[in-house]
Amino acid sequence: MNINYNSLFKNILPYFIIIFFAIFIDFILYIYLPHGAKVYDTNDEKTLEYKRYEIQNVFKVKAKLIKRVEKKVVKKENYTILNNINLLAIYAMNNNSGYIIIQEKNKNDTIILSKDESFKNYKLSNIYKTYVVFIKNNKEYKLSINDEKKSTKYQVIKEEKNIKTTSDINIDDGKVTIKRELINNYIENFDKIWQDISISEVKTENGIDGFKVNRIKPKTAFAKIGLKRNDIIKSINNIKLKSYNDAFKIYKKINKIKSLNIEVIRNNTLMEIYYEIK
Amino acid sequence: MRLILKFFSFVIIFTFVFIIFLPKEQLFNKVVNIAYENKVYLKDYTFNEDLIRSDIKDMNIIYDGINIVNIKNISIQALLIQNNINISNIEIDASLNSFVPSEIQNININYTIFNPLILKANINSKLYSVKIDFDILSMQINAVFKTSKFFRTKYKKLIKELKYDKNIKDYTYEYKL
Repeated sequence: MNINYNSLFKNILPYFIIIFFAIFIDFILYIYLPHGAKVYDTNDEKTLEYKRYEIQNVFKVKAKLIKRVEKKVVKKENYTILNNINLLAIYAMNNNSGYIIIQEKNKNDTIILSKDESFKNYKLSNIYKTYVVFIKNNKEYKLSINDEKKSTKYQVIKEEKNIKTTSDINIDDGKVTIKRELINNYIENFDKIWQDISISEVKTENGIDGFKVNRIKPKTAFAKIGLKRNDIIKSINNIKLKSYNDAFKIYKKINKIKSLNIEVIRNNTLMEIYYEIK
Repeated sequence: MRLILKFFSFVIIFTFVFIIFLPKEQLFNKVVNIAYENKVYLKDYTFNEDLIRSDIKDMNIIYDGINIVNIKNISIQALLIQNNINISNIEIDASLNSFVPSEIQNININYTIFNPLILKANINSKLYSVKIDFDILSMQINAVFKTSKFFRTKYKKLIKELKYDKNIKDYTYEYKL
């Protein structure tokens, strides 16, 4: 029997090339594709607030077990304070959201951060009444407001001034004019703003995209100028409100502004409200 | 004719070898990472692979910090002619119970080269079953529901999103991506 090896080789070779090519592509994929999957950090999971002492009281956990639990918690709450940042103010809402005002030491500029926003890779993870928690590289950092120097400077003014709204806002042929005195009253009495209006951030995939009006006290300046509940304030004077910082930038300049142009989404329709400040 | 046969034999051998040596776990890691970047977290699963088959067991899917779905078993089978993904024992979080039934017994996704432009899926639950056709060319989803009376009364909000078809006397859904 005479086997023609040449023709056999000639016929089989392309199949070997194909097989080799397929394995080669798989090998490239093997190198390119990730060898490990990103693991979900269970700390991000939304759970009820951790109240170990109450749980112990309810279930009467034995002393030994309490000791062990305590050890764990101490490890988790091993905060180190950010030395270069001063926490000036906290605006905490009920649902653990809100915003804070911080200042870098030796710098005059203040920065406003809302929950989940980052400052120099420190992510603001939790806002409490007297302190906030930042996260960096899976480590938690507690920053407290209990600094005597700042507490006097940024003490909330509890004394309420009666802010007149009727005479300070004039509506003539759809043109709204606000007296600067009214604006100045709100600047002096910052706390009054939050009594008259309640807003919350509108979050999208790309971060904050405007602020929603949750509540407006009737007959106040905010109601008079035409803002309504469920309005979404998109921009003020063409400055898009992408963070609390943007909103406070406008607030800081408000005593110099001569007019206000507010872009609002109401019932899925984009509206513009224009005011003159005199 | 011989040339055509040779070409097909090349394609078949290439695909077969490609599937066998495909780094399936790494490919799944990529899917997990893409989901992670979109804030959908897949966790607690175990991955087993065979020559042409991959099994993922006990997977929890977390979105926005909430464990929304628990899947007991996902079986991915890639054959030359028929490709099949079988997802079984799906438990949706009870908090979503008012929107969708919390238990889905089985989801079967099928792709065959004899019908290369259509991706077929079947969803089976105690209260309803759905037959879904996804047209790859027009990117359109057509779903035909077979609903129980209990489903129709309990999930009225969901039913409102569907369209009643007089011919089949049940609901359909169309969506273009």
